[in-house]
Amino acid sequence: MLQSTASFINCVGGTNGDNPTEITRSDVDTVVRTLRGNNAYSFLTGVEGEDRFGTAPVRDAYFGLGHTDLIGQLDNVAGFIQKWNYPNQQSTLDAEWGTVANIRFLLSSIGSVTPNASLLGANVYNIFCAGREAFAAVEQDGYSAQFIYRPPIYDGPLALNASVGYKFAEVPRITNDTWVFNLRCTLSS
Amino acid sequence: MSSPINAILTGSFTSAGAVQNIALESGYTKFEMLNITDFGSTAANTNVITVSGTSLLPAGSALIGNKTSGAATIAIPSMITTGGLTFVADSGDQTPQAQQTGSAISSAAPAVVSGTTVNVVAGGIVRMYNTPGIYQIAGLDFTVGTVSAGTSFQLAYLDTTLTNLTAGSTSNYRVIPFSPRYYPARRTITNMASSSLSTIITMSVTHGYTVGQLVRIYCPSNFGMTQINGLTGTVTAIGTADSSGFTNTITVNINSASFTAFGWPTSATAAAGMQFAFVEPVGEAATNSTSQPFGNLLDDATRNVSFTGVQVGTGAQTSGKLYQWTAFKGVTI
Repeated sequence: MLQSTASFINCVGGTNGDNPTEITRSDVDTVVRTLRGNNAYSFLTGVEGEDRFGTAPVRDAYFGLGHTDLIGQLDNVAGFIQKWNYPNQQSTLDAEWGTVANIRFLLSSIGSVTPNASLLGANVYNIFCAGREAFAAVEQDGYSAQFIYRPPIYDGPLALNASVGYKFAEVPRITNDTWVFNLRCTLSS
Repeated sequence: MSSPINAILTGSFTSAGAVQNIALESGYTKFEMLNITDFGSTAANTNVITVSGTSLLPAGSALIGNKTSGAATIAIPSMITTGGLTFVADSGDQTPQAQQTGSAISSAAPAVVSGTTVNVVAGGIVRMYNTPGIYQIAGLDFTVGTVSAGTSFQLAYLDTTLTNLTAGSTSNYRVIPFSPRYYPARRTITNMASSSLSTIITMSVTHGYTVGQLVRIYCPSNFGMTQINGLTGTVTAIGTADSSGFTNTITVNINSASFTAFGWPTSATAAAGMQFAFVEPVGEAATNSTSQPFGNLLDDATRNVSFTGVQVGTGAQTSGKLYQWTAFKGVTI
């Protein structure tokens, strides 16, 4: 839903000769500035610094939802703090990779990618940077979804086949379009 | 989604001469159609009377029975490999088709791309990239206009005679099989101009918006009309012709008469990395009228418009005719 409908910002601070470029600190600052300028609430409070070698405090942050192909790209962004360099691990999420400025990046192998959508025909990676209550899933009267299994006994005289099905009565919806942006980038060459 | 193990579904549609999507429950393996309108006719035409296909056939294939001209008979069925039936597992899957190469993009309204036209159909969508000289359009999707098979096709809503848009020498493109999974979708702007107290906005892909919807306009600095950036407007009309004669437009109640004119940046600017101008749907204005006193029609409701089923191509139907279809599902062993 976000890929279809959310506003987008192209990364333009990189040097790979494509449009959008690879992600850089200036691009992250642009989306943070935009979200803050629209008074978007951050999801997570900051992580206070502690006297542990190699760690750094983490700012209060918005979520950045992206694809695992961005591993390596994010590490090259100025000011990137890897999850393992957080002062403590109590508030980290399994999918979290790290943070830049006020964005904490969560990566998944099913993150959003728009194929062949750059100037040079490369894949464009969509990083959905969202503040709190920017989008939601609306369920109809608590129905949500049903997974329906019919065992083989309902098939026929020899009970050979089972069936499975599902029904949804929910829909995703952007609740505040100024609190979520798709930061689009390609990979560095 | 669920379906019985063995099932037959049936329905009908009147052909509009365009690709017709038939939504079915999952797993249907055979599809047939019969022309009800022309049944028994002895008219002098060769309209499509019967169509059949199965899920294992290549996409766009079908067995077609055309009417014998001047007689109420069906000619020997022929096999087609394009414009026929396509069994679609998930229309939300927008995986582009194979890359094709173009030799030139003309300076015209609409622009004409010279090159191969495999699976390029009027009303379909292509994604353009690698467009030296006109990098401003690289990475964007466009609705296809007229197609000259094997030779060229139009980018239906792009006027390359506008300032800074020039003819291109080469290009690559891929057919995008379906629209985005969710409606309403964000759309890229190809032109924008003031009209009385309103603004007419042209988009690159058929927008699908309706009167009463609320949209937000994004226009970065390199596209000129920066004053409209971030403003919301209500769609007051659709289909008004713009200065290029294109009607894939919305008219919004934003008075842009004093705004800087919309204009494309140069190709060099695009090559260095830039933002695009686009329309984002954000809601609906409860517009009451005499004919619709109840206002809010929920036209902007986010909905999943993807489907699983069968897509009937233009080669498997005759415009204006009523077809009854039957879909079959059995157990695969």
